Amino acid sequence: MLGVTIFAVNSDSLVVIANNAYNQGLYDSALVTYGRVINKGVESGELYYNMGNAYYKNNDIASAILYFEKASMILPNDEDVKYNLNIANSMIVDKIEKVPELFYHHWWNSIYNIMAADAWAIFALVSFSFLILSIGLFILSKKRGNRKLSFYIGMLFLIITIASSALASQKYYLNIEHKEAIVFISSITVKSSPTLNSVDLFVIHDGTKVEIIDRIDSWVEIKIQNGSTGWLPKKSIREI
Amino acid sequence: MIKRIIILSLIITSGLFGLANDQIRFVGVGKQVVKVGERFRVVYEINQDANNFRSPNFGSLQVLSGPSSSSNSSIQYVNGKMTQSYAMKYTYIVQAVKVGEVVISPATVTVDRKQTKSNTIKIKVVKGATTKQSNSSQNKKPANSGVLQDDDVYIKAFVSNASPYIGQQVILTYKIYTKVPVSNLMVKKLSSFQGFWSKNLLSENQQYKQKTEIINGEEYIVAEINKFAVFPQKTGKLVIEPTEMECTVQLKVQNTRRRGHDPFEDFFNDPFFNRNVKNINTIIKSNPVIINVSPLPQKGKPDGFDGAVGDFRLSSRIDRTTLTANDALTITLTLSGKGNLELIELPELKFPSDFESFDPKITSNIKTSSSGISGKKKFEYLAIPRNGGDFEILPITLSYFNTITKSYHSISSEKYEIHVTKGDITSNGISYSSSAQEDIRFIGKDIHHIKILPFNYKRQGEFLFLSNTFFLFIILPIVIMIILLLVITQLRKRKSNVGLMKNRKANKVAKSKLKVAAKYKNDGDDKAYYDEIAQALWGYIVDKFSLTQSELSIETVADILKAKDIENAVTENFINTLNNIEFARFAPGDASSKMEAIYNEAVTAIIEAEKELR
Repeated sequence: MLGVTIFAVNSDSLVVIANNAYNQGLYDSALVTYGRVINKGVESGELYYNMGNAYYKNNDIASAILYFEKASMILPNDEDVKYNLNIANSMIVDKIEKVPELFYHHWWNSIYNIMAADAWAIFALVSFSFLILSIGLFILSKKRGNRKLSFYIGMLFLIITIASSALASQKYYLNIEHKEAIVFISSITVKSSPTLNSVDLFVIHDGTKVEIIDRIDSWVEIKIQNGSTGWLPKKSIREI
Repeated sequence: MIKRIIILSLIITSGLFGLANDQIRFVGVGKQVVKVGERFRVVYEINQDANNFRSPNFGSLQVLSGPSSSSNSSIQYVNGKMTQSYAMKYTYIVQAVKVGEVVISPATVTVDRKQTKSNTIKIKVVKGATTKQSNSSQNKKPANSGVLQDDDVYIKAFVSNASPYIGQQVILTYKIYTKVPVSNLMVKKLSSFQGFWSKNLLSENQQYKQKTEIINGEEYIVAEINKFAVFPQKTGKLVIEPTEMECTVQLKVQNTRRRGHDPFEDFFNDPFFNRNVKNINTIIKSNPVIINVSPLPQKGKPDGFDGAVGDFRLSSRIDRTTLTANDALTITLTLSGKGNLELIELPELKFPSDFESFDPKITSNIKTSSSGISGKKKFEYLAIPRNGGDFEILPITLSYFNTITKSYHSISSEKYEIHVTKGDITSNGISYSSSAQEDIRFIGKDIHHIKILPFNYKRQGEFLFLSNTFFLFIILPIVIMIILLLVITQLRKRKSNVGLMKNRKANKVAKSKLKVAAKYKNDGDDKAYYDEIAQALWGYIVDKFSLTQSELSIETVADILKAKDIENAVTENFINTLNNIEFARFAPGDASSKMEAIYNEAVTAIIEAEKELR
């Protein structure tokens, strides 16, 4: 924690310089300076958001989307991030109709997006502490009513703990494994198998978000939001 | 020989009878020079009754109709002299197709079983307007030769400036030059001003002003037939297509056929009788005009320059600067000057958003004179402030390019500060409740601005989940809870031990107190005796049930004993004893027998209670 604080002091001065450059319309130099902060090994949702803005103003929509997506990993509930990501997505070529989600999947996702990975982990820990507390109360209380109450409260916290741990782990693995990516080539053909001479399936354009299903050598199997899958060269995408 | 005799006799007879059938004349007449596409007549005329007309070979000319024949004869007695004439005409209408010289071979007729040939006709076919001038110089002939020459009448276009800037006013004038009388001047095809914005400078039905000019030693009548102010709208070489006009030209015709034949004919051929004036319908074309439009210089081009070229002035006027809310306010901007006024739009005058503003009323007072377009354009803005306050109306700036100084100029309106006092809406009886609220209109769309410090930093790829800290915070509450549980159970145990001790002691304490009481009884100190007995009983209750002295009363004791499932008889006995003791304490002076009874009662109560509580 201390290490991060020290980083923050140095980073803040860089961020101030970069923000000033952005305000003067010098988006390239702002990006370079933001990049120096990233190179220090720290990350921040706000930082990614600002970088996304600078890329957007530089008309590099694919990069802007990548950084807005990164920001939204850390700040899933930030209104600015959501808004700008929406605007950037409205500028890309591909308009992919989302497959309608099943209702429970939709609920799960909407809960899932309330908090970032760490926040869910903290939530799970807090809920776990309450679970332990209600177990203690259950053991200690002698009256029947109190025992009953603490049992039910304990059960509730058990469910919350399991659910939030599941969410935290899902987010964690999403972050660790980079399961989402943005297409960075202005127009690329998705192939039916990881070879160049396989059948062309469909064409996607830069800025489109894809889900990575599998990786073989320099190829990745991707899935776009309408459910279609296919293979792309690894270098045509950048992971979020 | 016989023939001659016949002819001679005919002459004689005709001379005798006054018949002028002197000889056969068979003549073909056509135009000498025609333009390609022009229709004209070729007429063969014979002065004898003839038949068996054979068509000539028209070569490259196209015969549109004909031959249509007509004949007329007339007998005139003039001063006792009879003149008889007879004519038969074969008329063709032909059209010239190709440039070049066409020779029409003679036509033949049979007169009195004799074939007669006509003359050959030579026709020169020329191209349209462009070759006109050169042709005209070659074959200059007197105007009244019966054939219209190309330089007899023509239109010429003039421009005031052949290399203007884009948007600069150029005056384009069409003049007609004529040597012959012209009537029925009609526009057939007007120039299309492609790439220009144009404005006619001459009013409709205007009388043409005529002048005379001497060109190449010949006198021409010159009149301006059309005048335009044109404003080029794009750069580069622009061509104004020629204008085409149709007119009727009156030509004097030399009647070669009859000239000299009869001196009186000249009299009738006088123009007064309009007999030797030929009306020719012709189409005249102007020359095309090439205009080289150069772009405006980039240097010093102000922001918001909108293509205004000319010389302008901008004045602004406001009717009032202090008013009450819901009163109207008028700002008048007047743009005056020379140039493409009609094309100029002023930048929009921006009112504060709290003002209800309307589109400006534009009144143009544009004068078109032969020197071009000038005038005034008035923009009247009406606005109604809906709320009180101090407002500012920012000036507007119009930039234009001055072609004389060849530089850009900016003109601005005035800035107005307006004070609006809050009006009483209800007193006006007007409610603007509906207009007071309006939807927010979005003008643009952009991303939200960047975030400012403080940022929340974390190391890249570092997550709380499954980290050491995570596991620590799982174990920590468990450990704390176990410790807490242990401590609490221990404390509880200890607390319950204290109660047990007191419980056990209660009997003993009571008994020792009773013993002390017995001693007081023997001493005859009955007050101390009752006090001691009361203390023995109360103390027993206090110790037994871990009560405090303050909670003590007969009722609480009764409640506690009932709650402990003690037999009603025992409880009643205990309570009665307590009552008796209290009663005895405050009403002393009784016999010792009563003291003895109370002592026994107290002992029995404690023993019974002890039995039940155990």
